[in-house]
Amino acid sequence: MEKFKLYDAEYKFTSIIWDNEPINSTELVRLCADKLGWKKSTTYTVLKKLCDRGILKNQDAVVTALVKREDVQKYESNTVVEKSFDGSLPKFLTAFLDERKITEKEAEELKKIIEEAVK
Amino acid sequence: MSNLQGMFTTILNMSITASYVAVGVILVRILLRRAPKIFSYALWAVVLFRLICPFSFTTAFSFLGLLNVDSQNNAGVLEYVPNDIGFMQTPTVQSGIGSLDSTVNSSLPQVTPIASVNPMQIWVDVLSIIWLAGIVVLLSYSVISYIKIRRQLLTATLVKDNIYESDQIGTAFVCGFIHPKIYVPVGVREADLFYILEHERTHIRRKDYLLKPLAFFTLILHWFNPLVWLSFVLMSRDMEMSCDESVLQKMSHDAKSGYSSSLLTLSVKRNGLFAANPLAFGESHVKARVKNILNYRKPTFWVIAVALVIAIVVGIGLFTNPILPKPDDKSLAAQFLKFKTEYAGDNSKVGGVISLLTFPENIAYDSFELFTDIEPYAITVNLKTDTETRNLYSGEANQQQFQDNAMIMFALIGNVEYIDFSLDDGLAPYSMQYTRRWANHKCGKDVRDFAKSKEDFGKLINATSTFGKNIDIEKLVEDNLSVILSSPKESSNPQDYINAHKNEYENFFKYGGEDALQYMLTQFEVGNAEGLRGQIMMQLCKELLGARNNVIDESLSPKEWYDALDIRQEIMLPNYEYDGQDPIEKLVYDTEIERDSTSNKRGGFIIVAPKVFGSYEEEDLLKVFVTTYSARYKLYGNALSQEGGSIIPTAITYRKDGNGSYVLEKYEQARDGSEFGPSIREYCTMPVSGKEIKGLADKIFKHYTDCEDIRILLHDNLFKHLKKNGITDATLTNSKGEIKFSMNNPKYKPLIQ
Repeated sequence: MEKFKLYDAEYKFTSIIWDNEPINSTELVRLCADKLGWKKSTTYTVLKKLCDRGILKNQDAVVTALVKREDVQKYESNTVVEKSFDGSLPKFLTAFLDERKITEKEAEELKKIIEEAVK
Repeated sequence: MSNLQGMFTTILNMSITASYVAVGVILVRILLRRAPKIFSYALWAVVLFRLICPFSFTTAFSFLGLLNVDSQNNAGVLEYVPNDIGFMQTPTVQSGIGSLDSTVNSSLPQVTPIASVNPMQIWVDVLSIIWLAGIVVLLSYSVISYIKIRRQLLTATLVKDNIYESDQIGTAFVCGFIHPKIYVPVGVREADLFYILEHERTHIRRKDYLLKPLAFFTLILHWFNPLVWLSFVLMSRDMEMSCDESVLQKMSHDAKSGYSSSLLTLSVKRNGLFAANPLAFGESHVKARVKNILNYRKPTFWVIAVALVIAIVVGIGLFTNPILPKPDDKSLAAQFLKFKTEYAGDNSKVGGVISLLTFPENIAYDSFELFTDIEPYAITVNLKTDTETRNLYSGEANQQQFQDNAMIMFALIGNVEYIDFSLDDGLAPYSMQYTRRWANHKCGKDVRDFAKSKEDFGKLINATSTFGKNIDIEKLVEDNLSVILSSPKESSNPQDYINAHKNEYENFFKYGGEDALQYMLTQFEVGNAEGLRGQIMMQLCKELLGARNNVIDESLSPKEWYDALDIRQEIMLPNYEYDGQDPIEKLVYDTEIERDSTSNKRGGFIIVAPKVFGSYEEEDLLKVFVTTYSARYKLYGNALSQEGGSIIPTAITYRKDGNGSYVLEKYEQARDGSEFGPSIREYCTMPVSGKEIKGLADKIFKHYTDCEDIRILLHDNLFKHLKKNGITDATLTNSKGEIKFSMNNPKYKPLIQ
């Protein structure tokens, strides 16, 4: 699952692609310069790296993502739970909720998610 | 002297000066502890300046004058380690700290005459290579880590304006030289970010992002100096703290806690590499900075005013070089003036003056006594000698040197009224006493006026030996003559009398000269030159006349001699002119004759005989290595007299000008004494690149031991020159009457015509 490990910059870059795919690589360079402050060469370097890792695809100057945003997010949250909370979801939730009030609606949603997961 | 060694010694000298300045700044920092840090920060600029600029202005109130450094050369450079240390016979450095110097200097290798390379030179060689290696290592380390950081920062993403964020870094910093950008780690809290950005923006406004790399580069040049490392660390700290203060000053009073907690938050995550690399701009010294922030109060007007004054005074005091005596101030006059004092009771000064006095042969300085209980104050100088010398100097005519010495002492020692020189032969001491009134009368003004400046004092020293000369030539001649005639009575040979009174005899040449000659010739004229007196005067006149004396017959009596005497007038001849074809030789001849004739105020004509060892051309410079025999002659009738001569190895550098002709650029002569060898080695280099010319110096040394060829050439040239000027008969005899050169003797003619 190491595949989904993205650095901050890589995540921001991939986000641009998720929001705009399929996207022409020239257009991508323009967007990156605008939003990330990147030079053309930086954009292509990162693009090539992520293509090599199978996260993005660049065919005929059209860039698309091969992984879904949800997969990457899932990996990130798993990593956090694993690293900082010994893989314990309750510990994670406790820390996350710490003194924070949640609405009735949010609580309902959470319950549903938990019930689904138990089945 | 290779360029590397030259650079190394330059850096070394700057490092030593800067070390003093750094210590000064560190001390003043303690004083400025409570003042805004901007003052401490600003003072480091002086250290930086000293580390990169070998020159400075000279002011009277430079603090470096407090050091006992006598090592400034005239270009405003402080020089403790001489640039040519590798070539010195006895290498010495002057750090300004006596005890350190004696340790260092005693450890410096001295020259063993057998070794072909000066051991100190090897040391300088090795050290400069180590120095260079250190620079290469440190420089490549910094450049590589800088490139690494730049690469990591490529993917930092824009937040706004010139602010970028990245998860590759642990702390915020400024990076870039032309368009500096602020980099912050991702996930910094909004509240922290505010302070951090304000801090970094202040760095950019102050151009700190340029200053710090400059300081770091300087540190690399001076990597061997621990004080420079310390300065760099402290300077960085002052830079950060003054930056902190400037941020706080702009914010409300309660910003302190927020600001310091932001600093802490960021420092927890700090990443070693970034903090260590000054080309990127890390945060450091967190503990001291938090303390400084929490203690911060807006400074009052008075604190700023006092700090400003201290910083300016210290800044200028450390920035400038002291006014030091120039190197030529090692002159006798300057040395004497060091011991100038108002009081005869100043034991060490008076002793210093006396130690510099010169006394005649066979007289040794023993001790001095000060009589300063009651006025008038007196000084007695006790001298040891033998009875014969004592008797010699008890005649007033021979006391010139004692008079000179007394004059010098009256000029330098303000309130002494009597000076005694006591000549003790162990039997009956003879005393010469001088008074201040005598001294003032003799020089026509207050003799102390001479001690007001080096120039005036130089005049006094030069004049002392001529005091009295014009006053009474008759007295000089008669006094000395009567001493010579006094003994040994049993002999009738004038030479015996002369031999018995060598000093009096010499006085005629030292103090008498042409005046004495004129006086004695008058004595012959009026018939007051009988017997022994006539014999001795004839002898003196003959020597004073030299080649002007036309009477060769040595058997004549004084009266006959005078009657036959027809003083020869000098035949004026031009200086030698080269008539050969060799363009290089032509240049050398012209230069040598030109030089000698400008310094030749005593008449006569000049013949030169150079031996060219080689000429080297590089770019538009031509350097010619020669050893020149240069001699000055006068011609009286058919008698030549050699008035002086020298054989000196020289390097002459010419610059080719627009018209293709060569103009004299530089004239380097071998120096005297122990510097002779080293000075030749020093100039045996290529004209532009300064590369050493292998084997050349040795060739010059070898030739110098003999010089047979240029001795012959000199006579060849003399012969040609005389002949060209229509002289067919001329003879040069030495003082023993031996013929050294004659136009009639084939032996002295040119070998090849």
